[in-house]
This record gives sequence, C-alpha cells and structure tokens, in this order.
Amino acid sequence: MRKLLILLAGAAALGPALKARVYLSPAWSKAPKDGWVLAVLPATCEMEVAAVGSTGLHRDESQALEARLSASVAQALQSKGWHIADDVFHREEIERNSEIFFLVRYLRERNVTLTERIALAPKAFRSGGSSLGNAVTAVRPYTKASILVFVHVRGFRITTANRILNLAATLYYSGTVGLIFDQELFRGTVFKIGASFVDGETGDILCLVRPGRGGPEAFLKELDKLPH
Amino acid sequence: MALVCGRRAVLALVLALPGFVLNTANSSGLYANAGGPNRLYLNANARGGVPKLLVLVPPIGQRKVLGAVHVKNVEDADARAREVSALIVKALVRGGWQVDEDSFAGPSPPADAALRNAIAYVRERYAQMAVEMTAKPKDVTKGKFSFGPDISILGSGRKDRALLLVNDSSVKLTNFPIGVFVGGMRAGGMPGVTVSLVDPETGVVLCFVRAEDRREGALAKTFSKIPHRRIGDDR
Repeated sequence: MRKLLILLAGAAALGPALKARVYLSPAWSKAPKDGWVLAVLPATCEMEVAAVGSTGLHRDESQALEARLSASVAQALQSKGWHIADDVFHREEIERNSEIFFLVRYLRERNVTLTERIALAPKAFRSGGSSLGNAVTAVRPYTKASILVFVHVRGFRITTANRILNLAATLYYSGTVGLIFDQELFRGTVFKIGASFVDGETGDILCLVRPGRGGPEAFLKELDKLPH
Repeated sequence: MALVCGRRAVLALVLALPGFVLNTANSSGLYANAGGPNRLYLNANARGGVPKLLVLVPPIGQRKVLGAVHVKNVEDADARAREVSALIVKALVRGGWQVDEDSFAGPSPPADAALRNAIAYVRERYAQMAVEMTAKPKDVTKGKFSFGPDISILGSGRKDRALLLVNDSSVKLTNFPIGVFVGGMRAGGMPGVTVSLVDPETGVVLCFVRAEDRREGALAKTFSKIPHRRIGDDR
C-alpha cells in the first residue's frame, strides 16, 4: 500500500513536469501591451524517428508541421486580441534573401539554446537578463512588429521496438501502475513545442512557453493562458 | 548526537576525496589531460582526404557552473575558447595543415552582412551539434551530421578548403563544496573541447575530434591521423 502511494505521488509530481509552462520576465508585466504588434516567425521543427540504436530526421513531416504551426499560432494569438503584423517575412521571402535567411536561422538557434538554459534555471529568467542580443535589431527593416515570436518543435516518432523497450523499462522500474501514467507508450508521436516572445528592439526574452510534451492542441491552450 | 555528526562528516570527507583528487588534476590548467585520450571520428566519405587548407570560424565558448550555464561569464568563456583555439591551430600547423585564421576570425568581421549572419548561425548551430555529436559520435562516421548545403556561402565557391570549428564547453570549477563532487565526477565524462572539420559546400561534418588531452603533442598526434589532400588535387 505504501509503495503504491509513493508511486502515485511520484506520477503526480512527474505529470506537471512534462507539461508546457509559461515563464514571464519582469519586463512583461511592466510593459504596456496595447501597442504591441507581434510577428510570428516561421517555426522550426526537428522530427526524429526514435528507432533502436539510431535516429533519423523526417524532413517531410517536419516541413508539413512547420507550415501548419506558424499559421495556427498567429491565429490563436489574434483570437486572444493580440495585434499580428501582416508584413512578416514568409518562408519563400526568407529563402530569397541570404542576409535575412541566415539572420533568422541564427536567431532561432540562439533562441533554442537560451530556452534550454532557462528551462534549467527558470528562477534566473524571472529576475530578467535573458537576451538574444543586439542582432534582433537587424530584423527591424523587414517588419514593423515590436515583438518577435519564435516557435520551436522537437518531435519524436516512437517505433514498435522503442515501445517494447519502454514497456520493459516501465515494468522494471515502476511496476504496472507506471503504465497508467506512461502515456508516451501509447502515443505514436511525441511533440515538445515551445515558444518565446522577444523584444524586437533590445532582444530581451519577455515570455517563454517552456516546451512540454503535449501535442499542438495542448500548446495552443497554453498560449491562451498568456496574461494580456 | 555529536558522535553521529562527526561520523557523517568523516564519511562525507572520505566520499569527497576522489572528486577532490580528480578536480585538482583537472584544474591544473588549459593544457591538462581532462581524463582520457583524444578521440577521432572520421566520416567514411572523407577517407579520400580532407582539404589541407582550413578556415577557422570564431571559436565558441560556453562555461558551465554546476550544470547551470553561467550567462554572465560569456566573455570570459569566449576568451578561453580563443586560447584553446590558438593551441589547436598550433597543433594543426605542426601536423602539416595550413590554417587561415583571418578570413572569419580576424580582428575585423566580414563586411558582407549575409556572410556575417552565416558565421553567427554556424557557430550557434555547432554549439548544439557538438553536444549531439559527443552523445552519438559514431553517427559522424556515417555522415549523419550536416549543416546543410545552405552554408556554401562560407566556402566562396572554392573546393580546396574546409571549415575548422572549435567548441569549448567546459565546466567551471567553483569553491562551492558540491563542486568537489560534481566537478570531480564530470572530469572524465564532460564534452569539453571539440574540433570539427566541415565541408563548406555540402555542410557535412568530415571529422570530429574530442580533445580530452589538450597537450600540443597529443593534439598533433591526433590530427596527424586525419588524411589530407594537397591543394589543387582533384576531388
């Protein structure tokens, strides 16, 4: 009975850790948000097939999700009353101009690195000071938006071999009770979707939606909770 | 009660001793052996040789303190990465390679904005890729790691050169007592300094080196194992 209670408590503690979570910097609460115009940059998606011993990227799946997600995020934010810039550069425009192509790529990579750091030490983020640097100012000539929204996705497609290994590991470590909570085992694909709201002038990260293991729907629900 | 506390303190000291010894060995400076030989992973497609002329991309430095990244220390980390990079360049030159240090990493950055952004992107991507390559180094031999053909802007259309990327992501040792344990235990297994040679046309990583032993002789010996072809040879 005692073991069962410990397992249940453990599973209950682990559940929120896997969910997306919103972190706000002090600048977010201070800033007047009425004049904000948001630009949702094309999402980055890395889709991996987690087979035993190796991983492979699935480019078709990644590209399909990238195209779909940016539009969904823009729509979700607009429905919440945020102003969305319509002059945001599209994928084709980015690929034509090599200057903006590498700038956007650099900012996205920098954002992913910082997101991982913030996830490790969220308290430091709440006290402010996380920034992409002055490089964001180079985006100003291309868009009138004051806030840049970066969306990044990491997806894992789970194969049968992985499912068998997961099953064995779950049984070994937590007994049958763990199976009830190990939702990944029954899912075909696991997504970790996160987003960052970056000040277009200073490069400061104002808000971070920490990547969680829900699908796109769960992520959009988290966006709805953003304080306006 | 005092006796129990005393026993615990002695036990803690005994447990801390191996970490402390490793820490002392590791903190003897930049040129120390971090706990093992250097590892070289060569892409199977690069067995024919890597161009002998290497273009240095500004090195990347990330210092960590007890698992959390010390953001305030970035400038210090970059300075240390430059120091490590100079050492690696010296070892490469000793091994017969030619290294162009001024094209990208010189005192003045490139005037072309696209080139400047491309360098920034490659540096940032490599910082992440180095962690992935350290975790799965055998994938380098299969040619799975690539920056993509988009970075051909860095090659300037010349086939006789490769990009030299250096990443230093060492753990900074602190005076905090737990650092004795963490730093000591991580001394042998942390990524540390990594070096990669990249084909600028295809973006594929040709070879990856985990530079655990940072003595010049050991580095030169490792780099001498990479087959190189002379400038002007056909591909």
